Amino acid sequence: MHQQKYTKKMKQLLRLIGKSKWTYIGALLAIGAEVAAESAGNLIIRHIIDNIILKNKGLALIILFTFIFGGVSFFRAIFSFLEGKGKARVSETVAKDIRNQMFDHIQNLSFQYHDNAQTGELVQRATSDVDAVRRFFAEQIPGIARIGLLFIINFVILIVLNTKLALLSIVAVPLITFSSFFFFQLIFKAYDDFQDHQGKMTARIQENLSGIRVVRAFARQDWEKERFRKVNSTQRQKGMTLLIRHSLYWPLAHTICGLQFVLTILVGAIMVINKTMTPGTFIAFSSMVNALIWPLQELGRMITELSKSFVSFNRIVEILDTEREDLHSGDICGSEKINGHIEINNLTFAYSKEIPVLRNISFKCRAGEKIALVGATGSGKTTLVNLLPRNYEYQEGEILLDGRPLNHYSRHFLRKNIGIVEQEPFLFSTTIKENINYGLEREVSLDEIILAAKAAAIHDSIMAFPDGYDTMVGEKGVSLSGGQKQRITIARTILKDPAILILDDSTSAVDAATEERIKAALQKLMVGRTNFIIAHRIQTLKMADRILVMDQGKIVQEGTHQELVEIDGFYKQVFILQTSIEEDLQQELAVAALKE
Amino acid sequence: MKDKKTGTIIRILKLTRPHWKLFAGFTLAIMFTAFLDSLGTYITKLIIDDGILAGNLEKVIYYSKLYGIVYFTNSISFFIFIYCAGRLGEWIQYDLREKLFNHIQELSFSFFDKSSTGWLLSRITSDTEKMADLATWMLLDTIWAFFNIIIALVFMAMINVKLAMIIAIILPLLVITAAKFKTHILGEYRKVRKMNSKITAAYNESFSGVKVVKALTREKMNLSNFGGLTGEMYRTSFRAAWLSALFLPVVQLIITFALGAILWFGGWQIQLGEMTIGGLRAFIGYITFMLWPIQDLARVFSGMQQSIAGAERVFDLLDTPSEIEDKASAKDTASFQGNVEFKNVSFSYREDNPVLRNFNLNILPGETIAIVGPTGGGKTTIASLLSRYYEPVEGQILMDGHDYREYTQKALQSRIGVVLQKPHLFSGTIKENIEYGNPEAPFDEIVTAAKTAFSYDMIMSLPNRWDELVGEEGTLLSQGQKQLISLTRAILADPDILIMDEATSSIDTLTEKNIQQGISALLANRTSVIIAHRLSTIKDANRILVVEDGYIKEEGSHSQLLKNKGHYYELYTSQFRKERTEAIGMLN
Repeated sequence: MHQQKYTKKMKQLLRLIGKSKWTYIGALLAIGAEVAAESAGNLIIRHIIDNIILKNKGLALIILFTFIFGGVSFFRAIFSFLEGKGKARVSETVAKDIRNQMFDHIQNLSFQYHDNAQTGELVQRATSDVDAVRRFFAEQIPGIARIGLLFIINFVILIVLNTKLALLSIVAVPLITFSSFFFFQLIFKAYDDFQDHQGKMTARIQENLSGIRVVRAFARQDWEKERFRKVNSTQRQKGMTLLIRHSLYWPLAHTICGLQFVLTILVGAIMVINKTMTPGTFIAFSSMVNALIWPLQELGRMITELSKSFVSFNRIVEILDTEREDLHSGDICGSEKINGHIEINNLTFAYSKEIPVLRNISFKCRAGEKIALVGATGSGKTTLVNLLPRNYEYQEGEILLDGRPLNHYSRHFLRKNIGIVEQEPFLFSTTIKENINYGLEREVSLDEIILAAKAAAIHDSIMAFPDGYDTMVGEKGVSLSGGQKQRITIARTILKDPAILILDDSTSAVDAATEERIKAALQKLMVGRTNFIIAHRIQTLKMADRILVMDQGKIVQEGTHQELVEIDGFYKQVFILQTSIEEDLQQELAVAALKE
Repeated sequence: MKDKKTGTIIRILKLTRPHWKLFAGFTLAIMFTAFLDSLGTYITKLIIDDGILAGNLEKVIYYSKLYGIVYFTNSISFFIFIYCAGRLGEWIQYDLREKLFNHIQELSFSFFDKSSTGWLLSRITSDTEKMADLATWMLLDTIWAFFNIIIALVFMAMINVKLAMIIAIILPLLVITAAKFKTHILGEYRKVRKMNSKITAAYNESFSGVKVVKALTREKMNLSNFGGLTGEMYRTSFRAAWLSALFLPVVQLIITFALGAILWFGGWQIQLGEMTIGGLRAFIGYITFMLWPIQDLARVFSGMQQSIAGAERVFDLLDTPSEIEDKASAKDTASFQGNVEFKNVSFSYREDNPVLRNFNLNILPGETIAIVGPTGGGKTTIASLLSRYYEPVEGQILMDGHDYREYTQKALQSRIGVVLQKPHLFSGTIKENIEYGNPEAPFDEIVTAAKTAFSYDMIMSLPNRWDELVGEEGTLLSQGQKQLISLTRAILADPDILIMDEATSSIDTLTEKNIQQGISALLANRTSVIIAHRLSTIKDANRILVVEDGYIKEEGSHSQLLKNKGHYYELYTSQFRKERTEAIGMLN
């Protein structure tokens, strides 16, 4: 079972090479050629010693064979370079492909997936796990191939040269292979442990540093020092465990390989004395035994790393196997126009299989109407508007857009025609200009961008920045206030010119003066579209033609502002509380004045 | 510049002094290993010449035994240098981490304003590791490389002086070429790392803004932009990879020339009878083996550059003095009455930008002062000066009539309680976090404190009560819960003077009420200075100061100030509207 899984993963991984298959096979063959050339060099030295030097055949032949030796070495160098270049090309191509694939796949995963995923975790997979796969092709496969080829090629030649001695020269191979596997298991275990604890130590330091003011406020430095000393000490011990395992393995491996080598030399020497072997063969033999036996020390490390690559690869596949959001299928996906008439019948929706967030929602909305949604946190307002661009699929009931079910429209089409101004504006770390025309497929002139910025009441602020519209936003540029960010996203939405507009609590994060300016900008934006406004301030709600009051996933009240203030209910309550603020304030002031 | 580097290296090496036995152990062992490596090769020469070619079986057996012993001894030497160097490295890291951590605990607050947590963290973790590497493995590699080459040359000279001299001439050329080439390659890899961090940043942004990307249907464009990055990454790393694939063959080729020279010259010498076949074999062995130190040195030297850079940062940090030091005559005190006076205090973070000018304020024992005013007006500075996180540039702050610099920081800070806007908890249990305020407090005092702070019911409602884990930086608790714990901690500490930076974040009404009660309990019977945001706190203060541009603009009680219809009136009415509107948003 385990074995099967191993081979399956291996096959899956190798499939990643795709078109570069022949390049990679070429690179692996180059390793063989390189190893063979090295052995050939040893055979030439053998020839020089046995047939020229020992037979006193003169300098000219020595020079000739030295040149042949040089030629062989040159080939060896070329193969070595070809191997390096080939495996680099393949492994870097694979890495590039996976990076692109991961990027595209992740940005195409559903909202539901992203609700539960953590950015850090995703980035981790897209970077270090991808790098592990790159190393699989660049280091592990060639490394193991090299060890194998060194063994096979040299061993075959040794057998041909002297079978008895060849067999004697590999008696320690099982021992060295076994101890390599055994110790590297232990070493990697200790290493994981070490890394684990390092994470803990880092967390401890980080916590101390970010809480340093609290430490000082309670004068707890000594206690913190003591606490760190313990973590620090454990870290040193973990390091020692890892070290001791290393310090046992390498001498052991050295002894085994060394004794094997001495055995070969001893027996070989006796053979030469007994004339069953030539001195040249003996010298070539000793070089080739060296080339064959020492690399085996590393075999355990290679194999253990290989299994780690599988784990990384698994994590990548896990993401790539997750179903993507289908952006393009749907009858309507082209350049059709949307009127913006929306009808919702008996709509019920739940995130995964939990309790429904929306229950039995029904309402109609004419094209060009302004609908406000109001209700307590968690009443389902945001969820409801999130269904319109098909960010989530509803389970029961229907949503009709211009008389056709929503899933007749492709997601891409819907999102192009729906504009959202979010509660917490998100800007990308690029220029202001690019943030404003972000997502537009057509070419936009600077004049158009300026027009949109003026409409969003942000033009003057932008011009005040050193680089105007080319000012960078974010870490490498200016930091913008919440209100400024909000107005940039409004400008962005103005340019997008959607048929349906969603304003999700767009003015809650800004101060009163900015709010006025944003509100003016929004009012202009709403003309000629179907609008959904999520808000809880009466001033904002009054802008709507109709107000839907939501409570626990249901619409509990519906009507105009005038109508709703007449009926007892949530809306009236909010209205009273809000209008009473001024009265209460005056009363407060009066009480304070009396106290004097 | 060079001198500074040497100075840094010497200072790193001085770190090994407490563990000089380990240092001596690994340096001697690696030299011994270098010697044994060369000796082993020489023994093969003896086996060939004196044993095989002379047909002397006894000598073959004798030298083989010797060879075996050399291998075995070398293994022991291996063990010694790996163990000693590794252990020394662990000790150096341990010592440095401890020194840095302890030093940081005592640094002044101006320092933390300038340095980020992440920056400090990499000093403590990665730079210390690099420094330890320099004093152990890199030094070991260098010693090994040099000794290996020198001893090999000596052995070669023993075999044939002329040939050894040829090698000695070729060698520096080889080392320099290899080093230059390798440095170039390492530069290419630096570009790869830069590209890599660009890609990580792109991932980060794309994943954290994925919902906006979807809403704006930017997927295709983003992919093509990202494709540009990965394409660039491919080109840079492919270039770096094939350049380094070129490195080994080139070095090998140069070595081949050396080998060719040996074969040709050696062959000629053998025919003259000046050299033996065993000698030739030994030469080949020595040259082949030299390949490793030569190609390794460049890597080691570039690693050293990084270690030195890291060490300079670490030493700078260790050399940073705390800007606030206790006077030699500073004394401890058990407690304060609680009279605090700012006398003509001026202060600036940077010289050209004064924050407070000639600030005067007298706070009576037990009084509660609320400071309000716009951001950047100097509120936080007043609190920081009072807690002596900073000291006045001019003027004095008096505690019970004495300049507070007459006391030790420890005495002062353990009697002044500070409650911060963002409640910061440490990973561990609730009880441990409360105990942070006073580790000696018996359990019933903790319970009393919790009851006083109105956190008791909240704690009792948690599954594990006092032993509930709060998570790293308290992430397992809600904001309101964290604030309650933080208040309880302050009450347990029972300071004489309290400074509070009140949180602005809104929380649900029930918790809000509890927190308000907790705050009132904390303020009772002690001198308190609050940077206030909540109306209820402000109203209940004995005195309200409106601070703007480093001055007290207005001062008086709540009703006095309202009557004035000045700054306070503006602030109060707008805050009133804000609080009420927020409350409606949370309405259930």
